[in-house]
Amino acid sequence: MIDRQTKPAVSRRAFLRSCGVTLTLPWLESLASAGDSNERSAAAQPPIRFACIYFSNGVEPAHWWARGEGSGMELGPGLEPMNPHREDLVFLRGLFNAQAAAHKSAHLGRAPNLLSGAWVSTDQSEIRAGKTFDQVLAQTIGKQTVIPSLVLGIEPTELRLEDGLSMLYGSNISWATDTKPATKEIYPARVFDLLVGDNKGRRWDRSILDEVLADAHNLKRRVSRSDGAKVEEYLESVRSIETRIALAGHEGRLEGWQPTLTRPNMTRPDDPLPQDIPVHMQLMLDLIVLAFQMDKTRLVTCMLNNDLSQMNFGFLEGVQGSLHLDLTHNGRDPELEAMYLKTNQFHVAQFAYLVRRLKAIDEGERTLLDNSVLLCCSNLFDGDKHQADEMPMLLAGSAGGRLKTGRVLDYLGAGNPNRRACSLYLSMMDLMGAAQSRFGDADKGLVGL
Amino acid sequence: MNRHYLSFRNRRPPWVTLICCGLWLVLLAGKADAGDLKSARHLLNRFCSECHSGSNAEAHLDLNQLSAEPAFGTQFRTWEKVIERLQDRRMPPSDAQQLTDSERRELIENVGDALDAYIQEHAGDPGRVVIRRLTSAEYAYLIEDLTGLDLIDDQDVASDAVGGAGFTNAGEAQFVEDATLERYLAAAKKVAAHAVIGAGPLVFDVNPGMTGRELSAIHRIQEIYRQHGFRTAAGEGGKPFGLEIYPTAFYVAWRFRHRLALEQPNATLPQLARENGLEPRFAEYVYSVLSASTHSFPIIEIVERWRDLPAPGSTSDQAVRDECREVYDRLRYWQHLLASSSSDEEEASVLTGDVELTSESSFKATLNWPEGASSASFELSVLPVANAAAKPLVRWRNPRLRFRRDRKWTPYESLRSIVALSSANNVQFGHHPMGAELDANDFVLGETEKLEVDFPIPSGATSAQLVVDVVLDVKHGDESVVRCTVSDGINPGETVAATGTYSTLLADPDGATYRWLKPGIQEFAQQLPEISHREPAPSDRDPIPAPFDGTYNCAERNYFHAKVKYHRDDQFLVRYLLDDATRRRLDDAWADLVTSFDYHDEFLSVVARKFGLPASRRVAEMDESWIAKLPAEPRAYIERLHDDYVGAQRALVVAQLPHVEQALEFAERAWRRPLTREERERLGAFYSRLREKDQLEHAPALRLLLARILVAPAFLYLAEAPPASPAAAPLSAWELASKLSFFLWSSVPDDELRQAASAGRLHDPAVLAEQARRMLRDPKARRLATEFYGQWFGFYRFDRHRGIDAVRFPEFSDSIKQAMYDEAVSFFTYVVREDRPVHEILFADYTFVNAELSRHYGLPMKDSREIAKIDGTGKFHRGGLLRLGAVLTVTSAPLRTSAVKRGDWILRRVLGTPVPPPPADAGSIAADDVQTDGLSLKQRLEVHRRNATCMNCHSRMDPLGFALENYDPIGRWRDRYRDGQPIDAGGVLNDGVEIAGTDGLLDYLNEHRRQFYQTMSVRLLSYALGRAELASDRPLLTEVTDELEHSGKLSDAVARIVASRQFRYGRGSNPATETDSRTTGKQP
Repeated sequence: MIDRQTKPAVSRRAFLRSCGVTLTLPWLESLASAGDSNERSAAAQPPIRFACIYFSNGVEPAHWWARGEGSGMELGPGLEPMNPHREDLVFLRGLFNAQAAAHKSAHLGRAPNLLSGAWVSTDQSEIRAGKTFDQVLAQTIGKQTVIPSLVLGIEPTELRLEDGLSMLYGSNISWATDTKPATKEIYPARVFDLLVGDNKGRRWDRSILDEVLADAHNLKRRVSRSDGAKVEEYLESVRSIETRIALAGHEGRLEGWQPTLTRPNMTRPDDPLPQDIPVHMQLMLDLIVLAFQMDKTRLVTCMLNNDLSQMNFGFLEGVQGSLHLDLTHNGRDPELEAMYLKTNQFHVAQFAYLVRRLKAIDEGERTLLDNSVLLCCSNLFDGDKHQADEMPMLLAGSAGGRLKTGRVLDYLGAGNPNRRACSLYLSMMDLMGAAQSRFGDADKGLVGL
Repeated sequence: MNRHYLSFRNRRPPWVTLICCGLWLVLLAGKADAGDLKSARHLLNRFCSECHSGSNAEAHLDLNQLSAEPAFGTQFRTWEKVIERLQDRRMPPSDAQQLTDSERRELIENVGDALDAYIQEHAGDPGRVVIRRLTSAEYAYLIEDLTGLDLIDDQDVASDAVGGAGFTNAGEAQFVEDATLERYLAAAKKVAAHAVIGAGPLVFDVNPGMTGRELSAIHRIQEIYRQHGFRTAAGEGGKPFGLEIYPTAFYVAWRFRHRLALEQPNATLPQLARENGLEPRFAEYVYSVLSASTHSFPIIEIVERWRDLPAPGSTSDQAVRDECREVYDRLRYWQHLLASSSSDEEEASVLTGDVELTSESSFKATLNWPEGASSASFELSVLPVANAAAKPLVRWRNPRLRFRRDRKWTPYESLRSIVALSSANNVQFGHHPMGAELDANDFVLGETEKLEVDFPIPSGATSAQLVVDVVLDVKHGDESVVRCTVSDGINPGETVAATGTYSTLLADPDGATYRWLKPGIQEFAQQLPEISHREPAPSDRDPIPAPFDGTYNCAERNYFHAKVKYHRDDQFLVRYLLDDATRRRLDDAWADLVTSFDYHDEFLSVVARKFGLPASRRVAEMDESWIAKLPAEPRAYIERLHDDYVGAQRALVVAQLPHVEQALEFAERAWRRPLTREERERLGAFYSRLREKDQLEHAPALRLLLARILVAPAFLYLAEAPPASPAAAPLSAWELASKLSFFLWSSVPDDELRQAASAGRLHDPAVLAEQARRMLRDPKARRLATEFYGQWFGFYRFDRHRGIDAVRFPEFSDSIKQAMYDEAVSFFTYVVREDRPVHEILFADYTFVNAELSRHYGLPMKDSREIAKIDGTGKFHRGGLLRLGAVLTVTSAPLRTSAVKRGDWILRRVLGTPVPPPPADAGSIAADDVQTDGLSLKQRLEVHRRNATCMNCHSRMDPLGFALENYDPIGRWRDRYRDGQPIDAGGVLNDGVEIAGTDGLLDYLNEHRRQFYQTMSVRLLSYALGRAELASDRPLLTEVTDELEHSGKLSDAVARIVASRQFRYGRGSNPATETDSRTTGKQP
């Protein structure tokens, strides 16, 4: 569409305008406004990446502990796969969301609000769970990359109600607005296409999108204002695809820093959903690494399973039955407890895999892991009891050296105002260079982090 | 006053209701002002607001705010809960300040009255329906209905989730993000790629792109051939069809001939033809053949028989029709005889009249006999044709038989060695009547009317085959044209047409008789052919057209078959059997076919090779001067080829404008309403811009236009234009048509519904109801089974269920899963389409299984791969919703059954009285049904129930679930657990009612049938409207429930819903009653 050979002098703004897109926040401006990242952006510094790896149904509390510091840190059996990475860890104990703990619905009132700390609506005619902090980031620093954020999962949304609430709540930990979950992608092939797809060859898609954008504007005028908000979702989607197509024509970065990878170093996954769960998970984790390495996005959440997951863990040696009904709610049967522990370890092993891969990628001064801050968590502590007054949480990576790792931080006795998960999220947004003054029920970062 | 709240949905056991009712009678005595919460507000404020107010209100219930803005429409359940808690005296809690009894009564009464007043005032309110987006299933169904193709295999096009009453069609749980839109875009482009954009009208083919054009064209050509043409031969080329055409033409010609006697002096051939379903052109043609002044042999035979048909009056009309059929039988006889006698048995020779007779032929005759016969016979005949005086001789050379036994052929044996003695005397093996030399196994026949040959049947043989060569012995007999026949006679149960009769003509090619006969035969074959056309895609055994070498397997022929592939030879059909419109469609289809690949260039290269021309040219590059310089013979072919090419290319261009118009019609169907003028202009302008400004070819531009139509919000959203005021207003006819078809078919209206909408008839509720009844009978009502019943009862997408442990239950195979899903869908499809009494949903004595599922269940059923209905299954523990394999499986855990899950499922989905969620720290019981503690699952659950907080709910759930304990986690019947412990199915409910086994459960549900109908009413209405139930729906729901109870027909309930105000009206937000008043928009 734009022949850059013959028109090398075209300005970026003019280029974007010629693509028919008005970008509210082109990346340079947003980067400059993103708080203290000023000092980083000027230099050729790699950006900080964030990923949240979520697993459902909590842990076996007796096996979930850590003590000591640095290389001397000891980990409970549930955390065993993290042993090689103890020095990259921050073990957090005792954080929770008050609105979740107070909710009647043991699962769905305590899952979608993990990263927002908000109340989950019990009104049948309204879906509402609160915008999550990763999506706050997506709407600020997310604009610096082609893809604002990746929202991944393994299991599809179950099409039923639980306790009269939509299972949508159990299937989404990332919410783009208070009332709308961010679309979760579970197909590895689609993620791959999103990351490396050729947006340059999409001239004709653009022509279609331009047309339907006008349609949507017309429709919005005709429907009621509340329906107009729904149509606005459509409009936003069209605009964001158009932006992506427009940006794709614009090769070469404005920042001094260059990503370590410009082409994918993995093959495209097959189209169908993988039937083998460990394979599926590893593909998703590899795609996260790819996304970070190519700097397609800096924000990822990934649900290893949905809340209330019936994921069958027969693939683990010596384990049989489903995660939720058989293994989490195990009636304290010792044999089943042992299996439950293995599922906990399996989840942590996925996180450990991501840590190991990121650690192996050199980005100059630091590894990709050290240019990241990763969160591994579940929304419940004791899964069998749906315990939400604390949550299992692990951090990894030093956020470009700003986070001291190799530590155990126990907030259990610190008093409720100091135990807010939203304080952690405030701190993490700060580490990411997009500080906020308030988030959820918190107005200050996590003390001692 | 008729109480609508609480009384409709009975959330508690009957005894509680009784007490409540008594209480209500007392309460009704002192009645406060309706619709006003004055005294309640005061009391709530005094006694409740300490905990239930402000942003940190207990249970997130702010009664101060709620009583200031009661929002009965959406918050009625909260209000009902308030009343319940007050009645139960669970609120205020014992440690708080208590209301006096009269205050409590006053509060309950005031809230109750206000709620009732609200219901009365707002009855029939359509409510606020959040704009709906197509669900994944709807998307796929729409594409299927719009294109006739099942193109969408992505079950997640739209990222579905359920909302409201538990259905994916609730707008508030539907979202669009860029990832969703990307999927829509990809799907739309995929559909557009399947459009066939050639010379014909816009259609869709299962194959995309040029392959689609080619296969669609072939399909359309074959369809026209099949519909209008005929093939009376049943050879390897295919099955016969169009057999009625000739006898009907004879009859029409007869009627025309006798039009005066039939008192239709003004009747014309075309008119008579149309009356008899015949193409007028063909009637005129056949009449011209029959009424010609002179005829050659054998046409004369047919013509004479037709002329000899009885005159009107002497016999019945049916008799004439029958005799016309006999005339046709004679025609068939000659057609068949000539075809089988032609040395080239291909159809082509018959069609072109190019019949060549020879003096030799051979038979391969299948012989049948009545079952149980010990001997059989066949008949031989030799008859001169046309020259009765001749004395021909025919040698029957090397006659041999083989038998079919145990599905195998025995080896051939000479006829002489097997025929019975008596026949051997009839047949003089090894003897030539003129004393000439003859093999011992051969024999010779002169003119023979009928020679019967008997032979014994070896035991176990079911049929035989006779193979023999026949040769006209011109050396010893007269030159002639003779007909030789082998027939196995008429067996019991056979019609004349079905007998195994084989005939052939033999002629001395140089004889005078044949020279005389030949032109007549050729005329016959040309004028009354047995096929009207050749196949457009000749198989590789068919010859290729002249001048090419038709020798089987030669390079030229093979190249033609592989590269040129198609050859048009349908002049007879086009000339005599097609009307003008069909001719055009056929020409379009041929143009599509030959432009779907480089047909003409391939054809050219064959011609070039044949005639040694330079092969490098393409047809498109030829000009007339170049062609004119060619030698005469190739020039004829190349001129024709060039003309054909130019014609096809022109046809493609001519079709372009109509295509754009057809795309707009497609948009009207896809968008479910007529386009506005502006929309037409915009769509047209989009196409023009792509063609002119972007220099795109027609096909890609049209595909983009189609894709754009399918990504448009008008396609993806079910938008209803809101009335200007918040008051409800009738929906437009198109909105109604759409709402109705999405309700019952999950897709777009069909033509009939569109016509009703366009005629404005849908505003009549009776018409709407009548349409609904029609649509429920339609095959597309299967979608109500998958979408509505599937989601309601939880077997939605059960074919992809992954909740069963594959190691423990290897029997739960993909095919069993599929069969269980088919069982459930077939069952509900049957109930819906046949309008079975709704109680059969629970109590049916039949189900739907295939052989595999039947084995799984232990049902006696014959081999059947297909799912079929089987009756009287009750005695095998099958039939009805509760005993569906899919339902029993989804309510189980991966390793075991779950009485809690099943009980909860019954309460929630069948009776509509769910228990509240368990307390978060309820703890759990061990998962497997076999545990080391020796306790049965039921005993363990009883331990759990002893806990007082658990008992309340579990004593309602568990006995219902345990009643189904005889069904294992994959739906099979069992008497014992795996460890041998006996099954104890049932239990005692909290109200003392004992449930014993499945039968006890069914009895219990039968007693509580009305609750089931209530649940059905609520679900059906929510599904129809795409929103959750409102308080103001209560009167309608009571009506629907009554309908289900009294008429017992789903169709009546649906008719009531679609005729309701809720269904037929729409509105924006109502500021007076709803919380979303702040977002209500004014019309611009």
